[in-house]
Amino acid sequence: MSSLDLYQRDLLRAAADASHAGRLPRPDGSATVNNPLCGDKITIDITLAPDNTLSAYTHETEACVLCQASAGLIGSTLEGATATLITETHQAVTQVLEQGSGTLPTQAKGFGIFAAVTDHTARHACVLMPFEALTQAVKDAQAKTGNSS
Amino acid sequence: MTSFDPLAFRNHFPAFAAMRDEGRDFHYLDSGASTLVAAPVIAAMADHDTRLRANVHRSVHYWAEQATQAFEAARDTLAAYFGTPRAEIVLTSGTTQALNIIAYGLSDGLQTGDEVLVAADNHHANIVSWQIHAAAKGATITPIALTPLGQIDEDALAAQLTDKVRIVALSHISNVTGWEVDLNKIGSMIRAKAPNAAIIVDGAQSACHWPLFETALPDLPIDFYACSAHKMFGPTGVGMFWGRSDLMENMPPLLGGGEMITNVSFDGTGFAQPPTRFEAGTPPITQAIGFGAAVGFLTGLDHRAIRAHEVTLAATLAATLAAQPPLDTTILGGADFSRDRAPLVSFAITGCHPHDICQLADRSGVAMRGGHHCAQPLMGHFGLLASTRASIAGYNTPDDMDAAINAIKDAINLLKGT
Repeated sequence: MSSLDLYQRDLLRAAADASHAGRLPRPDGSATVNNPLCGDKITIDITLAPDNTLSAYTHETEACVLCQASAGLIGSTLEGATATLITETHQAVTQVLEQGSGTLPTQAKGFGIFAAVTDHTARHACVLMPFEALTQAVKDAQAKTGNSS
Repeated sequence: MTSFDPLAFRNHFPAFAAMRDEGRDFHYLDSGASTLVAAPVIAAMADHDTRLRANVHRSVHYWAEQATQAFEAARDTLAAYFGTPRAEIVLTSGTTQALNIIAYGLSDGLQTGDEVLVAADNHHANIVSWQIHAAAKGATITPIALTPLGQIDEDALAAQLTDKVRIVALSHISNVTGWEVDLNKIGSMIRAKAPNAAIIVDGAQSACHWPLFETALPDLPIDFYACSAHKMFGPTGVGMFWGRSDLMENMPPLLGGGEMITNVSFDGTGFAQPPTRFEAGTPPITQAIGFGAAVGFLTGLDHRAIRAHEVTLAATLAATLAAQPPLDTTILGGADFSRDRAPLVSFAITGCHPHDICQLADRSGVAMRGGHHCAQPLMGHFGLLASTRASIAGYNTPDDMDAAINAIKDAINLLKGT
């Protein structure tokens, strides 16, 4: 897999999607994750609906295109998702990175673009960083709201 | 113009022929992280592992004797290269382990109220090791301020130097900007104003061309100097530090194990004299022999001509990048490579992440490093999280610079064309 395959149009488009960029004024939960390899940083804010679904999501990303694309795709595909679906998507994307393919949830098929990253193991963390931040933000929100169902 | 011929120099490095045989474009600009390995090094390690494989300082058979002699000969070669007594050369797994051994050993004498000054342009190895070991003794860790170009702010340093300062940790050459610290000047200032301070120098980026400095390590106003073989055309997994005997004799060892003792009992264990005290367990024998071969190779080079060649390439690359306004490029440390600077060109291009630039450059066979280069405080000084670094060695050519510039432009076109 070449670097050219890595930087395909869909990935660049996802990275350029700024629709969920920024901070929420009153998040239920937040998390910041740093990439120890390169110092990249992502901060995610979320709110959870009473049924524990992701009702709002924003990211503030100082990172590479892969991380930006991943953060953007989370916004465009997982808003409204349950915590279970977020976890399933996180696991499926990890599998896509490690194996080059995987069964992504229907709503999250867009993450299939990261199959091109499989051979670039040093970049897997770039794709997964937003998921790690999202997972921490969900836990933060559940701890604050007392809703972990 | 110099008489140095980089294409002829390439013949010492089998990687070029190997990449040619694979039909792979190969523009290796990551020597600041790890240089290519010279043929005599590979030959020496293969010979040892083929004919004389044995542990050192233990068994009495022929092969063990030969291995011990080769291992200690490597120490002799290093001592000659740096102009030190052989007993002041400690072999380690690399600069990081060396700095941790030094930090642990010197921190033993620290107490609350003592100060440790750490230059903010240091690699993490010369920062975190002090944070771990010196801070545990109650010492205060204080950064030494930098100028806008990322050099040590000498006025600020002078104001920080008091008799409470017990340690000053410096980087001889920044692994990001390439700026060189004048060890004579800075060391003398520290000696005059902070007479109780030991001066520790990370030499990872300067050791490869040590003959340029035309001095022996003990003649400098410093106390410890650490470096790694893998940045000196040698193998990974081995490095060394030089330290003054009188200081090392009072340092406890970081690692305990075989060989570093005089006797062991449950009533008490005695430690061997340096350097053995700091070389616990089976050392990296094959790598140390390769390290000796690397330094033997370095000893025969015209370092002045090589550095002139390297810096010419670095200046060309930096000037070309800086002169193209559409790139909106910042050269960390500035684009002036005319003095006191190693050929490390680190740059940041607005809107283009270093990892993306490096990944895209890779498709043209251009090997650069993107990231914080284990120098996050220095990155913070420049207001950055990361940068792209092209680090140049004698085997690089103008063709490599052209390839890098074209690859960077192509990457920017793709990343900004969306």
